[in-house]
Amino acid sequence: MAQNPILSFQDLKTHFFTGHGVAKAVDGVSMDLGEGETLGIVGESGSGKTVTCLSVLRLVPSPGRIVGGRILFEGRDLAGLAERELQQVRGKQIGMVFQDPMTSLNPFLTIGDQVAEPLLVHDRLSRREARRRAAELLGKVGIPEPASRLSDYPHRFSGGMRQRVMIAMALIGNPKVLIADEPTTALDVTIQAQVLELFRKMKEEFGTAILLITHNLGVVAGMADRVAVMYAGRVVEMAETEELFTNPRHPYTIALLRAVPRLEYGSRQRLEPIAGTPPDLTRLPAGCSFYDRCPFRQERCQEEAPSLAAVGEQH
Amino acid sequence: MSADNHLLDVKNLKKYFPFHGKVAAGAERIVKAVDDVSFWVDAGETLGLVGESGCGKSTLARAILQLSRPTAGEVLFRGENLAALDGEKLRRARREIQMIFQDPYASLNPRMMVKEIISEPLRNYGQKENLNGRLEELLATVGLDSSAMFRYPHEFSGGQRQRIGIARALALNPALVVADEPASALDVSIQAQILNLLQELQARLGLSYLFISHDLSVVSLLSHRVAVMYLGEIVELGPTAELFPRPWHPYTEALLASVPEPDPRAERAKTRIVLRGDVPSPVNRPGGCSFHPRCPYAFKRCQQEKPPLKEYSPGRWVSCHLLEEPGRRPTSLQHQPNH
Repeated sequence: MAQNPILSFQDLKTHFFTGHGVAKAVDGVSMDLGEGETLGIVGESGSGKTVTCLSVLRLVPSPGRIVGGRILFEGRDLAGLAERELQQVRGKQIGMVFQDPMTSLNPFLTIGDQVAEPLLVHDRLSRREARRRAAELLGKVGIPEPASRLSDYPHRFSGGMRQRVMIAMALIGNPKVLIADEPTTALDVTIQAQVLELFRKMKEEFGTAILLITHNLGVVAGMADRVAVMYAGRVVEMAETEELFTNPRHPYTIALLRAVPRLEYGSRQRLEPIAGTPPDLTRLPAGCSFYDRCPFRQERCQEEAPSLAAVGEQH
Repeated sequence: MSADNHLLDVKNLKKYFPFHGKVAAGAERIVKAVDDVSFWVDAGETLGLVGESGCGKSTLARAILQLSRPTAGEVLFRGENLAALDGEKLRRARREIQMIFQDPYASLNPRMMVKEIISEPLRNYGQKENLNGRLEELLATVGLDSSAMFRYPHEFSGGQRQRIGIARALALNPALVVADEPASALDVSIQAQILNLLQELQARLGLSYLFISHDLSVVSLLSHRVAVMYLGEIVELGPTAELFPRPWHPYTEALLASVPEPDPRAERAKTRIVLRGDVPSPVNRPGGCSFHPRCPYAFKRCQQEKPPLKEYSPGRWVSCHLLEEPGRRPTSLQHQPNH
């Protein structure tokens, strides 16, 4: 666990109350994000990684609800805050970058107004000062001639530029925590490399702690200090990045690392897919959720759900 | 046809679109989505086609299949120029080329049963007898149970839907399958199942693939040869086993360096080549070499003169002036054979 957790999840449960039953999207997640640390959360669609981070700022869409557990930000339980108090945290102390840069910006507002908004709302700065700061930050995230682009609307920006605008919006309040949900998934690889480089610089310069959600094991390998692997709403394994990649212990992590395509130099090797599909979240088995697909399963796995246990100092 | 008996032979293919937006004074009002592209695919071979969004790879696929007619150039399939055919003749000639699409949610008609989806190509080409037998065989080939026949697409997961799309593509015993990002919409564990299936089918049925993807890891895994596209042109083409460890075009080099590898040690040790800026618009294509505004090694000649795609060693084609002036690339970044 991290030394000085700035953000701490304690047995978080977020369920969706659908017509087909209760989908346990997040079912007892506990983890800590240390100051200045980058924690990667990896998992496939439906593993609960996005819902976990939406829960932090209480942005879970209906019919989802946080039904249990606590999320502590600097020791304060965010779940207990009134909406007004949460507003102070959202966008100011915790910034968020969403996956899709094409739909996450308001097409009717200029880039300058959108980036400067947190300063006007939270810091009560003058419009002129807020715009000056917005231009400065846009320059830092690599938008050329930022001052002249403040009055442009989002449609004038390419995907990579919009993602950088989103990052500037998330960083302008100088947040202590940045939650980035698949921040580079919609981008081309050369643009992805630019954005990841930017995250590295931001981390160095501002000491921002980053919760990085991604399905891309390559991105995690290059960015995260520690990694949590999620499957069917639970963290199944958590370790320091290098330890996790060299010494994975959970059968799902092992299988995932074998299924991922790597740059091959023409050997035309075969991948080892994971048999079957992830379980239906409304009908999770009583025991381990990975039971049906696990090559090492035993009778016990069907009966009791395993809990997360330490197997080493960093694991 | 003389010595070159390629299954598919694309020669100087161009696909231009009219452009209705603003252009710089004196500029042409056209988008050169595919500009003078030539390559071939042999029987039983996989040619990977890589490039970023907007480089023209999907337009190229559509122009090969004549789903949008090329502006100029030839598409020779078994020696017959598809670009010069139309109507019934085109339909007959094209029978052996099939396509697998990216999005398994959008490419299957939600109102058709799987049986109808897979048998549609057969019925289109006048095959009416013993349909059920053939359908069962096709479903088995892609790893689906024959009970799938009477179900609708929404009852299947993404990976299963992609299997249905593959069964449909195989129905007419194609020689060439054009696969446009066939596994990109799927999760890693499912993606691996589909990629393996495609490899098995190739071994079993002797298929050729034109495999289009932005994911270099996937391409490196499946392709015998790779073509790299940038702004509507092929900038490098060669055998995967040579091109991936030792890219010669600076764009290929940057593209490969940008791929995050699932290996923390390799990631830390890596020389990062971060390209400046975005891909320029194909409307205002830069003069000279199209890549020169982003190229870390560009020199004067690159702004003035367009490098031709030339064969610098057997099977390795590159369009870059650096290959004629090798001293200009920093030695620290020159790729060694055991990179």
